[in-house]
Amino acid sequence: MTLDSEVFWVTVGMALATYAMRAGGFAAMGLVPMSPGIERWLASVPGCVIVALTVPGLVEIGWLALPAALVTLGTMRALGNEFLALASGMAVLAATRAFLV
Amino acid sequence: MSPPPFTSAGVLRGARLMIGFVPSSIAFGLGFGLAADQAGLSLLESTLMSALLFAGTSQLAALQIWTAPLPFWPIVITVMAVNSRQFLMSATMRPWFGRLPRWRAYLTLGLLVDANWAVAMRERARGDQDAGVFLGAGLVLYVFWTASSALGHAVGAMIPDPRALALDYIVPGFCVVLLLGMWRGKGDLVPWLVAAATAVLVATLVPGNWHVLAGGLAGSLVGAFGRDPR
Repeated sequence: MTLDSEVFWVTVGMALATYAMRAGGFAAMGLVPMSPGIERWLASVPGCVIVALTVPGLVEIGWLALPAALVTLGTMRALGNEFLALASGMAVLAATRAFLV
Repeated sequence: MSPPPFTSAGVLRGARLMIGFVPSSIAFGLGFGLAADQAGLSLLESTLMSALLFAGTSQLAALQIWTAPLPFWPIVITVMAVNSRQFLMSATMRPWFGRLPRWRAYLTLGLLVDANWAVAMRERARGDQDAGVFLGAGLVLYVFWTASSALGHAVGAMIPDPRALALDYIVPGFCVVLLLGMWRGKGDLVPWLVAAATAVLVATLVPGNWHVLAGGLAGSLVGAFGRDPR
């Protein structure tokens, strides 16, 4: 059970950033109405951020990540279960690693 | 206008409405705990993070750039960007929570996540004005999220060869699942491609984990000026 001081302060920073978002919209609406342009921008931020962290993450794993990701997508579309979607992708990656590398 | 009610009966109603969401919350928590163990966080550190943030997607995003020495600003700004959708949800709470005592509104908003927001807004649209519904729904998810992330870490610490089990796939794999739900329509294609290309380019050319922000910013600006996503 360790608590590194650097980890602690980064975590506090992350928590404050999160709370700022949870309370910020409510607070801002008490001051000024939101413009449609800002609203469109904010609405497209999360998807783009997740894309920007997913794609380099898959590239880092290598080409074996591709069949795994496709199986995850297919399972999610077919069964709609996050856990099975992730587990099936992991199984494909573990199997291809064991047999092909 | 008088403030909306805030009763323990409402808290119970909200808690009961969340039961269907508990299994996926547990699965997500277990996944985060495993990934946090992979990233080198201790049980205490990862549980503290889950308890203070209660924001799984942004926690996974942070793990993806969790390298020594920890890049403080890239991590904090990435978390803020991933959670910026809660800024919009929070804005929609104004007409409902604006008439509550201020401390009560701001404390309760600390538990805002996708699921309790969506369910509480639906209940309100059906005529249940009790602010306790939002609180109760959030509390149930909070308890299961924090507990299951601790359990996931404990399990992860017992696994001898994580790469052979493809545990390094948890974060990007979960993100693939999340993206399927975030896809709003064809209008998202160009912003997402811009985000992906920028992120890969910056990741290879620029040191220091700025690629998530660069990709997110470039893609979302294209999205803001582009056509309607649907």
